[in-house]
Amino acid sequence: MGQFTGLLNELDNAAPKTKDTNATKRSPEKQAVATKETPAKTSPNAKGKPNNKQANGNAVTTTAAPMRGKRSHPDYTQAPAFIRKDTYKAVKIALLHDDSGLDYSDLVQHLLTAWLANRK
Amino acid sequence: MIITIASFKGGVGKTTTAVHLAGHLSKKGKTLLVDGDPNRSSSDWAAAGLLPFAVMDEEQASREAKNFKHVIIDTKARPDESDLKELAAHTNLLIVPTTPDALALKATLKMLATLRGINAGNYKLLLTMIPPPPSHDGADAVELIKVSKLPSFKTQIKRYACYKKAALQGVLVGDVRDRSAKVAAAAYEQLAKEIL
Repeated sequence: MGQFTGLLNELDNAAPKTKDTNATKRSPEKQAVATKETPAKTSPNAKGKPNNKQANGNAVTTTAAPMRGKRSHPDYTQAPAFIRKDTYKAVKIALLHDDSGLDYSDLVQHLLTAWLANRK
Repeated sequence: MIITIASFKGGVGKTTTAVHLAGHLSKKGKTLLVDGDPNRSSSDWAAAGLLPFAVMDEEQASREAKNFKHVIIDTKARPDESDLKELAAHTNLLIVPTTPDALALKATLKMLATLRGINAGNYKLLLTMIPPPPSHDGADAVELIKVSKLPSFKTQIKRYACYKKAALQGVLVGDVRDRSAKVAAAAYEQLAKEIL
């Protein structure tokens, strides 16, 4: 029995249920059709945590220091760019619908890394 | 009319919405606010005895609800799926308040997925605590709602300090001495009109 079962039963018994208001249409909303990027969860990982590898791939020996954000991480820099507003909004919406934990910085990093790799 | 206020995330204005909707519905008929949140925030708000409607926990309400024309149910954050299913099936309208930040919107999208999973159709999003400019959060959230075709209220609730003052004083926001109180009260009046 749920938290509200007694109350809801009582309300059902007390009065006939009113029809839904006009405000409540029974048509489930459609999800936004957004292209989902599925970058590999590699370097840096999709959870926004900077990895502990150097450019040569060797692991950096670390002590049990607390995890830092990208803003204060020495391997990261903030790189502003001019992007079309509609593109930026569409990307933010697509990321909200994405369950992988990818954030905007992860996505930009992935795309730029892929572009560099493709030039070789 | 039976209205449930529910969300997967806490701190998005559920109780503020419940209290002020109850305040406006009480002008139309005897109104009961059911405090289903273990934090008993609605009960704390009502403790001063200055609100124009009754506030009870779900147990007491199950005995008294039949005496009221309108019932508003304030729930805990992230209600169980079984509770949500039951509430969606038995209430006329399920209001899902959400703040316009990414974390709350993510939680809201998950809740909507759950509601779709249980075939609930009588729900609507309410944007709350919209920060003033220069923040773009409100406009961005409206864009998300529009693009994603999510059912939502036209009324949006902006962030005003007077809502917190109202909670502390145990009154409706319109009764707070604050320069934004009238605008803040008008927002919920607009919401009540949109619902009725």
